[in-house]
Amino acid sequence: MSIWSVFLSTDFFFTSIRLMTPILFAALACMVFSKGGIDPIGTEGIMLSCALAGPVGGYFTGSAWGGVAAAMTVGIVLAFLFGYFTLILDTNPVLAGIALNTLSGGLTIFMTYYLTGNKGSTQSLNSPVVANIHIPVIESIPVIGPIVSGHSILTYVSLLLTFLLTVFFWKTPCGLRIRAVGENERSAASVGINIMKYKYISLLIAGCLAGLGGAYMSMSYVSMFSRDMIAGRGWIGMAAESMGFGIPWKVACSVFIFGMADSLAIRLQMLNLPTQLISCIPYVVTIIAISIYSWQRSRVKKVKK
Amino acid sequence: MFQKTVKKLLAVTLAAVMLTGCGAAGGEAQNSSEENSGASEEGGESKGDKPSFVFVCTGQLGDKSFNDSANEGIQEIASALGCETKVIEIGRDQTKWEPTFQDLAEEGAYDVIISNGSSAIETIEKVADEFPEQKFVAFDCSIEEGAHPNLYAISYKQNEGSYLAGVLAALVTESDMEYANEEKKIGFIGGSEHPIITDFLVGYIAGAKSVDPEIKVYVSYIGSWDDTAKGKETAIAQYNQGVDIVFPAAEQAGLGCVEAAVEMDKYIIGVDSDQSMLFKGVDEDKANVILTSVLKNVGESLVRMANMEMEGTVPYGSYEDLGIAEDGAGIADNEYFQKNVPEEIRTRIEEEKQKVLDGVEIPTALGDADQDEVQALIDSVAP
Repeated sequence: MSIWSVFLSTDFFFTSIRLMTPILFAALACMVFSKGGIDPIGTEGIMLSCALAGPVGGYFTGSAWGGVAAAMTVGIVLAFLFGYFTLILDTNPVLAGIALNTLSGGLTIFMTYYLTGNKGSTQSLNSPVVANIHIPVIESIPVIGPIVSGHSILTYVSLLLTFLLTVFFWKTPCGLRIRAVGENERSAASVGINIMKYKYISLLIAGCLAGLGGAYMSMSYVSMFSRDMIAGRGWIGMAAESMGFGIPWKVACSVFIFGMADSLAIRLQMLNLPTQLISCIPYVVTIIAISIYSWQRSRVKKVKK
Repeated sequence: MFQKTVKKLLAVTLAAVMLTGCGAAGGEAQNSSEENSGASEEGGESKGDKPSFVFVCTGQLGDKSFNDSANEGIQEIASALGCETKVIEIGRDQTKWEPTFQDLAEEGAYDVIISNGSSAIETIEKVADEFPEQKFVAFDCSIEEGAHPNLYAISYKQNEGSYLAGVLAALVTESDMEYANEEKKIGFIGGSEHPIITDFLVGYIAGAKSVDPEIKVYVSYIGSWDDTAKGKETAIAQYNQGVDIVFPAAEQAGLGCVEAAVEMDKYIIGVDSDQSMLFKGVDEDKANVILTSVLKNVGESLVRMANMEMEGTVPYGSYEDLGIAEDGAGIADNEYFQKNVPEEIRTRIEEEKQKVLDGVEIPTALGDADQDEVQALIDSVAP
């Protein structure tokens, strides 16, 4: 097997899409937070709690969609909690975010133990999973079919949401107002926009998105919650969001780059290359990507001047 | 007036939340120890001058592997030997480790402090030197002979257990079992590169080569011990290369590999605890693809240690390396192993086990092992 066969296999791209889905949800959540002028630091923790809420909700309602709804509800509650502390009580957002992440880390283990008598994972709940779908016509197209078809429903939802959020933030009054609030609160207030209302709308949407990301991890990627299973995807989502300048399609592209880097690192291990070298690929890609990002930004600033 | 009341109420609620918050953290540790002290009470009346043990769990119980196995050993010490025991979970925050050990040693309420040495050995050594009167036992690590007269370490010959797993994997991939394919490829997945994991690997390779010197072993590392999703992804990548049986030594992340095996109709070998029995009655599909598990019998080794402690024969100051002969390592022989593995393979494994008992040397990556030779062994089976 050569390096080219890795790049050229349809399986490589299929895996990249599967790997990027949770990061895309995280990045979109971060994007909506930022659009409303709220720090997205709590995303990782919110996703972790939602990842537990999914299988638990699924187990009690007996349906996968019940689980997804539970995950989204928990996402909204935690996002509002974060909003309440930072917007109403004026807590430092970094501290509130760290608190939320630490809380989720401990609370999920506690809840898992409380519900299953097991502190590691919810494997004994045997919860339902979100189905994968094969798209009828596209499936039979060579090359594209095996890449695009056969993913989890939530993967398609994430791509659809990328498009819908573009429309929402650039074409609808509500979305435009959220952006105005996020970019300059005072100017927004001066034209009579109810700042708090729009901040809460963005919290609501971001909470839902983080909830979907968490649900994807524990109800689709694997079929149970396990301790610390988000494993930094919330943070990578934050990085991808800023790399994509908060523009949905660019955010999705940066997420895809992260997905490919991960997928590449896993696949290259099959070749007889030193593992130390391969396991640093995702990090090297991150550094390169962030360098490009800051270089671009400095160029944009110069043009503006 | 109303505002004042509200403020007061808020203050009281906040204080209550903070208090319960603190209570909960302590409560969790208390909780798990209750089971143990409950068990010890039965034998507690006749306790007399029996030694007492405290297990400091650096991490959390519920890992379905190491810590749980140690916990079972502690429970057995309490119920079968009637000694006083306690379990304290101190989490992964390393800054809490040293003070906990110091507090316990200073208090001196327990004769022996037991802990997982694979990550905490340096802390344990340091505290052991500070408190020469306190006895310490560290498992899954080795120590310098005679350097710490009050510390006894137990290490496990994981290479012996994984040697048998390698034999099994090679026989399975060459068999006509339901999920086995034509290609003679087997897989190994580690959480990250670590001397103990490499020791697992060399044993596994040696076992596989004893069956077929031409066999290919795919080796991957997840780069995390928690990331189940990435574990699944790594296993899928190996299965896609024509591998039909994988041995993941990756703690929690290995659960993801089990999911991949179920989804792709392949086999897997569990690690550290009897994983197919854990899935019994919960998820039969998972239980059936886990052909066996490579075990480090931490629990048994602690019971053995407790028995020796009662006789006063624990060799403090040195360490013991427990293998198949001492029941410190091996593979799980359970109903799924009996049901799913064909008889001729089971007989062959039994023969290999006898060879190990008779003293056949299994390569290791630990101790004075020549690292170049270890690398050469890994390279010799690289695809």
